Formats: sequence, structure tokens, C-alpha cells
Amino acid sequence: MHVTGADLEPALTRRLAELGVRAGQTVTPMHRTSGGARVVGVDHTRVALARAVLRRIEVVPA
Amino acid sequence: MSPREVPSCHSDAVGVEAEAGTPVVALVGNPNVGKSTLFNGLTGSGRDVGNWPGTTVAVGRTLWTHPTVGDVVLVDLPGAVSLDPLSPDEELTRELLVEQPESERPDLVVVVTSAVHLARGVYLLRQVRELGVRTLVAVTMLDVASRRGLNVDLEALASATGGPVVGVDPRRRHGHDDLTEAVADALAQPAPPVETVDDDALAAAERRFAWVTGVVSATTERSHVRDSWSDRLDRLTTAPVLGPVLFLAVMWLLFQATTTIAAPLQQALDSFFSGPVTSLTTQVLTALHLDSTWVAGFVVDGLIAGVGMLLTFVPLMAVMFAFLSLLEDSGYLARAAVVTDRVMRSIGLPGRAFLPLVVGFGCNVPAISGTRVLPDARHRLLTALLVPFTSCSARLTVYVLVATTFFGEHAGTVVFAMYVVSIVLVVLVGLLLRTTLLRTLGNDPLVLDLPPYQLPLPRLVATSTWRRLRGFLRTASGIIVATVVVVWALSAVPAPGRAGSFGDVPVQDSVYATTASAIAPVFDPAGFGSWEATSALMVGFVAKEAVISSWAQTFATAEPESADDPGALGDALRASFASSSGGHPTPAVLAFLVFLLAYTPCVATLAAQRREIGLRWTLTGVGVQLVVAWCLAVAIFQAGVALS
Repeated sequence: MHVTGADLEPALTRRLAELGVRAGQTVTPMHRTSGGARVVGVDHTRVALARAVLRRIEVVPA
Repeated sequence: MSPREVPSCHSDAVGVEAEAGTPVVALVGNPNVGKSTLFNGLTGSGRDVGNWPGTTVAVGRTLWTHPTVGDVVLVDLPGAVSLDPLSPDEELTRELLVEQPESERPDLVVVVTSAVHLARGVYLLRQVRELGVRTLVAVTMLDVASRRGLNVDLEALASATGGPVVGVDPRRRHGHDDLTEAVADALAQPAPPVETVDDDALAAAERRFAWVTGVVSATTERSHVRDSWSDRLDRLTTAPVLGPVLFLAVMWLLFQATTTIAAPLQQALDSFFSGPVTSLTTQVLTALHLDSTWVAGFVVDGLIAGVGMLLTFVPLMAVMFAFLSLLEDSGYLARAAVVTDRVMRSIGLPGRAFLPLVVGFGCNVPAISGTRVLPDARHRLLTALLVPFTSCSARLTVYVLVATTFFGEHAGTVVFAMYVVSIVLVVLVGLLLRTTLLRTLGNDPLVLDLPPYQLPLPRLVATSTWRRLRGFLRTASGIIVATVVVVWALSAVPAPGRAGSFGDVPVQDSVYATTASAIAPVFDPAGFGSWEATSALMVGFVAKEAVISSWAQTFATAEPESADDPGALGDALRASFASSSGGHPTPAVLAFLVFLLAYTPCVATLAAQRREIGLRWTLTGVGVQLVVAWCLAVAIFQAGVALS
């Protein structure tokens, strides 16, 4: 999926961007984890994101 | 290379001062890239190493004797994703780089980056470059990246970034010579000019991202899709049901390790000190005609008992530290943090705080050191303040004795209830602290990088365990031995007007007993305001293990063979509580048990706390524990009396 933006507080948006989750990048939602978070593949790295964060990341199908 | 430690306001290291003009080289990098391992490998100095974000808590500074440059101050800065900080540890890195006057900035910044997360490292490099400092890039994890089908061309990286680049493997100590040489070359170059950055932070970040994307695509070659065994493993370790089960199994293993490996060693050390060491010392003292003087008491009951107590903690701490290193180095700890995240968030802590709290139920001392798994200093502080409320195994022996004495066949239920109270206290005190002393604590949702799994290297685990153990002994030994000696001294001095001489006085006639009698009225509203109960609590402040033996001494009965068969001590306890509670022993005993659970666990825990959170917060914690314990005990006794 292509990220188009994120509706989160600026510091968190910036941190996500630094971890690779930013507009123009492709991310791969992977499995759901215990506690309702989800592992997201960003290139060759893996990041666990809370549901509350995922909901506010805007994406369009790749 | 012979490292000498340089004093720093952020570390407890002591050593020689660096001469003025000594070049300063700082290691900067994202968490988990092997920065501290590189630092240790280069200098041989004692910094903690681990595959976990933020294991470099304070700033390590060591004088590194470079083969060509001579003395160099090597600084290991806390792991940071970028120079726009989100946690206090990242803030420290920013402060030391950005907010320093230009003349005080490091002469060279080595940006340590993992080949797997190249884009993140290059982003950090760009930010450091903007400051006008010489930079050198050290790329780690080239092997992990190539297993994932990612090949980083170091020469292309050097030309794309326009600066020197070397490949290193800190875990296996490969590439150190190349890096050492590159440091000398980089220091010989003139410092680059400070770059003007867009005032708009977002626009500045966009420009950096554009540059990073260009650099990464010009230097990285993807040969095949990432090997998915790591993903398959993640699917198991973080799965909704299996993840927590696996985590509990790992915790169970930790407890098994402490009981099967550490406990027998602890007992052996304890018997060694109370047996051969004590008898040999007594023989020596007898030969010197000192056996009937206070010197014998001071040496045997003060010094040997104190050192013996300190050393019995060593096996437990070693097992705990080795286990922590294994969890960190393997990369599993990040997965455990995901699994426990939701539960811990209910008290405003991230998932990884679960580990020290669980460990606390075994022993609070290693649990306090375990708070180092938390990357945020404020979370470490809150967790270290909550650990004492987890009911350690030393408290269990007292619960069993008291519950068997007073509640007979319901003893099991009472002991179980103590554990429930312990968990409730952790939650309630956590919420209380968050709304009072620690109001600034944020509660950011889970955003956690999952580092690559790695096979732990025994050498790294061993050195990390030894360094942490050495740190514990260095800071804890003084407090523990001193407190045991003070307690001995108080019980050796006869109270004014009582018979006896220094070192030869029955305990009830000592200053220790009169101190307990003076404090006892404080516990009248809780129903256990007797000097016997108070003196047990005073001893319990030093170590809960000593409570039962202190009672045996106080009531002049034999120490029970086992805690579930109190014998004569049980009769004496029943009489004492019946008298101090005005005929309401049951609520008084419950109040006593809850007080025992909630007040300061032992002096060794305080020593560990002082090391992790400083003296001021340790004392604040003691205050919170005493207030919570006293209020609860009074409430329980008063409610019990009112209901009966």
C-alpha cells in the first residue's frame, strides 16, 4: 500500500516518517499481534504499530 | 590500546582527566545498530551492550589510545532515531550535539548505521552533517542485510554521501582496524561548514528524505525478496494467543533458572559464610584472645554477615543479567514488549515494563536493574518505584509463618490474597504516581521497531553479565555491609540504665530494642504497636529473610524448622498480637502482613534503586512505601475492629 499521509500529532508523524512510514512510501500490513497492534513491513524492516496509530495513517492500494 | 575512563556527569566512572585539546570522537546511531558493542570493542571499557533500543542509558566516555592520533576521548551517545527527540535519552543526544556551542561539539561524529536500516542511518548522518561537524559512517550488520537479499555497496555509499564509509562487525570485532585508520584520516580533514536548514521543520525533513532516498537507491541492490523465516517467527512470538503463552513460558524459564541455578548457589554461599568462614574467624579471634570481646561480634555478626548477605545476591543477579543479555541480544525482548504492551498501558507504562515487574516477584534487586530495558528515563523511574510493591520470595516465608500461626487451614488463601494485594498495589500506586509526582509522563501509542533476530554470542552475553554484575557490586556493597554493621552495633550497645556492656547485652536491653519501643506507638492505630513487631519490621528493612530469625531471637524461642510449623514461636506471636491489638489479633495480623508487603523491601533493593534512579528518587520511593503501607495497615485494622 502507498502511504499518502498521517493524521497524528506532529512528533509522532515525524517519528513514523523517520521509520519509513511516510507519504510516497510503500508499506505492507502484516499479521495482527496480541493486544491489537499490527506488524507493518517497511522495505526490509518491521515495525509494530498500535491500532490507534494505524487508523490515522492514510493509504491507497499500491 | 589501553583505555582509561574519563569522568563524566552522566556516568559513575572515575579516572584520569583528558588533557585540553584531546580530540573528541562521538559515536551516534539508531538504537540496535551495535553502537555500544563497537564502543566496547574499541576501548574494552565497561558499557552495557544489547540488542534493544536504548541500552546506552547514560553517556559513556572513555580515553581511547589511538595508534596514530594518540589519546582520543571516545563518547558513546544514547541511541537516537533522529536528532528530533521523542524520549529523554534522545534529548540527551541532541543536547550533546546540537545545543552545544560549536567549539564544544565533537571533532568527529562516527554515525553507526545498520545496513538493514540504511535509510534511517543516512537520515541521521544528514542531520549531523548540517551541524558542520566532520563525519564518518560505520556500516554494521552487512551480513544480516545480505541474508535478506540486500547488498550495500560501501564505495558507492561513500561517493553518494560525499564522505568516508567503512564496514564493521562489532559483534565479531571485524573491521576495527579500518575504522581506526578512517578516524585518523577524518580527524586530519578540515571541518565542513555549517549548512543552512529550512526554517520550516517539515520542509527540512522533506529535503532530507529526498536526499536519503537518492543515496539509498544508488547504493543498495536487492537481489531477492527478504528471507521470511524471521517473519514466520514473528508471527508466532507476537501472535494473539501464542505470543503471551510463549512470553509466560520464557518468564517461567527465568524463574526456573533462578531456582535451579541461583538458589543452590545462594544456599551454598550462605552456609559457607555462616559455617566455615564464621568458625575459622572465631578460631582466629580466640587465638588472639578477642573471642569474648565486642570485636568478635563486630567481625562475625557485622562484617561477615554483611559481606555474606551481599555475596548471596551474586548468583541471583548473574542469572538475571545473563538472561536479560540473552533476551536483548537475540531480539526477542522487542517481541515481548509488543505482547505485553496493552496490559502495561493500563498503568501508563510500555509493554517492556512487564519484565522487571514480573522479575520483582522473585527478587526486587535484579528487577530494579531490569528497568534498563526501558528506553525512556521516565518509564524507568516509574517502574523502579513500582517494583518494591511486587511481593518478592523473601516476603513469602514471613507470610507463610504468620498465616499458618493465625489462620490455620486458611493460611493458603491468606498467602494468595497477599499476591493479589501486591498486584493491586502496583496498579494503584502506578496510577497515583502518574497523577502526582510523574504528571509529565506521556503515553504514546505503540510504535516499535522490531530489530532482526540474531543468534546470541556467548562472549557478548558473558561480558555484558560481568559488567552489570560489577556495576551492582560497586554501588550496592557499601550500603548493604554498612547497614548490617549498623544494625549489629545498635543491638550491641546496652540501652541507658540497662545491665550489660558493649557487645555483651541481651537484645531486649539493647539500644536496638529501645529504638523499636520508641517507634512502636506509631503502629498502635494499626494494632501491632509492640516492640517485638516493630523490631521485626526494622530488621525487615535490612532484609525480609531476617524477620523470622529476629523474632526467634526476640521471643527467645528456637527458630522454627520450617515456616509452616511455627511451634513455640507461634504461641509467642499469638500472645504478642493479642496484647498489642487490644483483643483483635486477626485484623492486626492482616494489617501487619499488608504493611510488610508494602513497605521498603530490603536495603539491597535501595542500593539497586540508588544506582538506577539516584538517591533523591530512592528516598522519595521509601517515603511513598511507608505512607502507603501505614495508611493501608491502619485502614485494615480499624475496619476489622469496627466490623467485629
